[in-house]
Amino acid sequence: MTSTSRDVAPKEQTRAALLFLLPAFVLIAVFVAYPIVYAGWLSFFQWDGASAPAFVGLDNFLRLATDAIFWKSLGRNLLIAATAIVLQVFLALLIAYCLVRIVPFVSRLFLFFYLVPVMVSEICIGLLWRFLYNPYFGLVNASLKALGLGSLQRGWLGDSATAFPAVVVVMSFTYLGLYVLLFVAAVRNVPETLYETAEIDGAGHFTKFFSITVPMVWDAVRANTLLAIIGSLKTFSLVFVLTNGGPNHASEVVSTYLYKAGFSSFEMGYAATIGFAQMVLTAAGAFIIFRYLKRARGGSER
Amino acid sequence: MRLKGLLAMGVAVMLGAAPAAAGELSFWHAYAGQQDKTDFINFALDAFAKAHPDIKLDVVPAEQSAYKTKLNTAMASGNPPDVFYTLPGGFLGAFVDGGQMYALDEDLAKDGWGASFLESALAQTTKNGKVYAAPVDVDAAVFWYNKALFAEHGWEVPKTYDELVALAEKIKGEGLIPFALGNKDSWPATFWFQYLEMRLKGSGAVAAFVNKDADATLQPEAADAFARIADLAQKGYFPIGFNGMSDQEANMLFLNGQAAMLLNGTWQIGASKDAPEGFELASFAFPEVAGGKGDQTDVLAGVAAAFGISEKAANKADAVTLLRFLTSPEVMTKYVDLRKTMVTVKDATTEAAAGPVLYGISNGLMKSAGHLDPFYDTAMQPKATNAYYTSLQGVLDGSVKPEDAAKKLEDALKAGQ
Amino acid sequence: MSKRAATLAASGPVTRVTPTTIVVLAVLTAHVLMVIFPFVWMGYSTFKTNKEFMRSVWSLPTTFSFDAYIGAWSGGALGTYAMNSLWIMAGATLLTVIVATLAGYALAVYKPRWMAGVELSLMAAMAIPAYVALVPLVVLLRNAGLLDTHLGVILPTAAFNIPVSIFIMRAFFVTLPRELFDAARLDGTGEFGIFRHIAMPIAWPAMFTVAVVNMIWVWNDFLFPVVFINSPARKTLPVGLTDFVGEHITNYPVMLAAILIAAIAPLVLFVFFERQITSALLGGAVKE
Repeated sequence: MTSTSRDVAPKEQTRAALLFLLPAFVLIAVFVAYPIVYAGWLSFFQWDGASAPAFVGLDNFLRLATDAIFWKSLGRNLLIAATAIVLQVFLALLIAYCLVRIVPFVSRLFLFFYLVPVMVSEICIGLLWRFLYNPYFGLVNASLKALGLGSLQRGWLGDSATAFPAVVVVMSFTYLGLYVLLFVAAVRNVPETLYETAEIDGAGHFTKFFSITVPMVWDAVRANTLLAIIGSLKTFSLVFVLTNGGPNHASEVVSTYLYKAGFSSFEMGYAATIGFAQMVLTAAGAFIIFRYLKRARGGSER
Repeated sequence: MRLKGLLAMGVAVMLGAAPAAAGELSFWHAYAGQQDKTDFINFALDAFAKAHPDIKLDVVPAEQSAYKTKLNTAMASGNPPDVFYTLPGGFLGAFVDGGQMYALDEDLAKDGWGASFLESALAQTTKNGKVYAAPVDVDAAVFWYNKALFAEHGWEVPKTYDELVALAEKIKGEGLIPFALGNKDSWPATFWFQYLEMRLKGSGAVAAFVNKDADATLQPEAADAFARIADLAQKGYFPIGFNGMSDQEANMLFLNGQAAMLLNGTWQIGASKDAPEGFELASFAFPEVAGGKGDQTDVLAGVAAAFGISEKAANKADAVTLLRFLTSPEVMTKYVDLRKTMVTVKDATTEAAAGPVLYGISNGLMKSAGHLDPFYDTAMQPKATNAYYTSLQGVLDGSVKPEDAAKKLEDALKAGQ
Repeated sequence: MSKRAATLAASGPVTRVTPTTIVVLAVLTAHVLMVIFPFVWMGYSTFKTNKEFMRSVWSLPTTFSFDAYIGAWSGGALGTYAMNSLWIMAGATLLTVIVATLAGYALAVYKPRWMAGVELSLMAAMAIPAYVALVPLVVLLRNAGLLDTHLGVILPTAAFNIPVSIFIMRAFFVTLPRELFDAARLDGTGEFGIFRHIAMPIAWPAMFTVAVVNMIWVWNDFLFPVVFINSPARKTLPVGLTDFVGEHITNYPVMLAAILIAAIAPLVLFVFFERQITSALLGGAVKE
């Protein structure tokens, strides 16, 4: 990369820019970019991590294409993304609006509390929630019983019907605070005059929320939605601690499936294929959604 | 805990380590990193130095997690230690196939050394009819029960599988959980399947696959074994949500008297140390299954570690002397005393060293066992282990049919052959 | 979003207490209590004895016993794990801050045409899940002899945190008036002189902000340490914690005390540096 005559900046500045960027470039090239290219290359091999890799052509990709567990795992990642948009992004916007517009006197304190799970390691959170979900002494079942809903008690993490939803709920509790924070800042930046004008017209909170706040913070909504989607595709630690993808893959996501393939079945080549395919699909998906949201600007907010 | 070990070893495979230079007699072991392990090896090596001042040892210790790779690298580079710690099964088998292990049969035949071992334990370090390593310690799976709870309710220890199921029904009727089970990490339920398979079909079914026996099969009994487990789960004899509970959570139910029985390894003794008052640990054998073709006295027990001699060792006589010393009853009794684990040397697991519960198992169950069948999940290929784990979880929660699970497991084992 | 580093102290509307206020306050209070309850429960349960805990999991402690903390600290290698976490945290944070400051500065101040491409690549790098690189990284680190070492965790961790950190730094540097630099250039100061003598001295608060969030991310990271580190003596706190929990089957208060010990460092950082942390999360692009 050398500067060209079309550069706006003078030569010396271009050189300085390159030098300032060099350390970052080296680290990212070696530890992010190269491994991804290498993952692509490993996808063509069968390898147990110890003996010599054997070239298998497209076998790994063919296997992946028909691997129901992989596709279901990817589907779960997408489902997490979808629920994150509602249970994290939309809920956070609602909470942010309430904190800023309705109960501002507690906003700082509440925001602090919402951020506590964001700061603590997901491993700790997962281990704690295992207690809440415990079928015998967990608080979830105890609360249901206390509310007279004893028939709804179950082994949340051990039942293939409820394991995945149970994990999704924990995710919402864990990451919600981050989006509340981001939206509080955005909602505060909405000019007060807009609300005042609306109030003169007799608008309630419902109207103000949907016709002023949402359109005014649409940039933040878009950015946070993207963030939630990326986060949903990255998710690992919480699932790992809560269910480890079980029972019988009922809460498997791509990351836990890759981890098992690579580091408990020792199918390194296939693990690389899972990661590589996931990345390509993620990139394509993120691109499409980003484009869509850009176009949908100011449109319907749901 | 066992799953963690598997994972740790996986990563260890990825590590590289250089072999150390050989001395008079080089000796590698994996008794480092934990107090009970270092105490044992220090005791054994000090005593050896006193008893055999003429044999100089070049000792290389390593932690269990890193040891496997270290040894593998040394073996692969053709520079193995003379005497070394090894794991039985496939790990040892690879060295045997490579012609790198010295067969101990002639030495075992002398002075009753071979007779000092449990025969069934020696079988786990035997390949192609020859013994290639001296087994050290052994973990067994048995039924644990809360003796105090049994006495309070007047329950009897079951002798047959039908009695076990009947007892479970009775316990459930009294509002308690018959069997504690925390199957989140999948290995706890494997004992149920394996014992049923052992009782119905016989020991050595998975070993046959590992030894590349063309006739190896788990069928048709595997489907029956899975079906019986599914039946127990469906009747509600396991805790609610057991597939999502950890072994610790299941233990909490057991130690607290909410669950009456637990099928688990001998490490349960250590896990029960901190139990609240009113809990009393006792064990019984997995009951007989009527009509089963297996030897009904067989025990699910795996040799955890062994010592072997390299074919390349220059001084085999001294190497055998070291091996004999390490597996002598005195050293092995000390091992039991320090580590609270059963050993493969007969009568070395004394009551004083082992404590009454472990002694009872060692002296009763283990002695009368027809065969010891090593843990399926660690014996089979890692890829098959995953199939085993997930199908078992599926059978237990009713999402996988027993015959489908049996087929999936069989296919995975065949693929690994 | 990045340009809107709004302060939390910004004034809101004038509050009138209406029935709506009461209802919203009640609902939000209930929700907040649910969110932080697990932490509160963990906190008070550590003061119970195991017998008390076994009797009732949710009751308050009747006596205050510090045995759980003593047990947690002496019963495992939490001290060792914490030291390992500390080293990795320090190494990765330092590396990230230095590298991200340089790059963030370049991104904010210099505008050659290709800079847009750099920005786009960095955004792409941010979206890549770390586990995609997991298997190749293991191979890379093994070949470099860095598997099972702290440096082997530090380098990839830093590399994956750098793109986000660059954007946080850039968000700071773009707020500096360009006249500052132009004046210095007219005085004949070189580009590096400008960075060192003009930008750096005022960049400390931003660098500190990046450092604090990185400390939390690295401290809490699980995937890289659990895969790259194998020796018990080199494990980090979250990884060691999962081992610890597995080994201490029967004593729950001890287990909870161990979890609390692992959780406390980021919480302390948060309590003391709330402003820096929130502004970092707001100021740059954000990590999940």
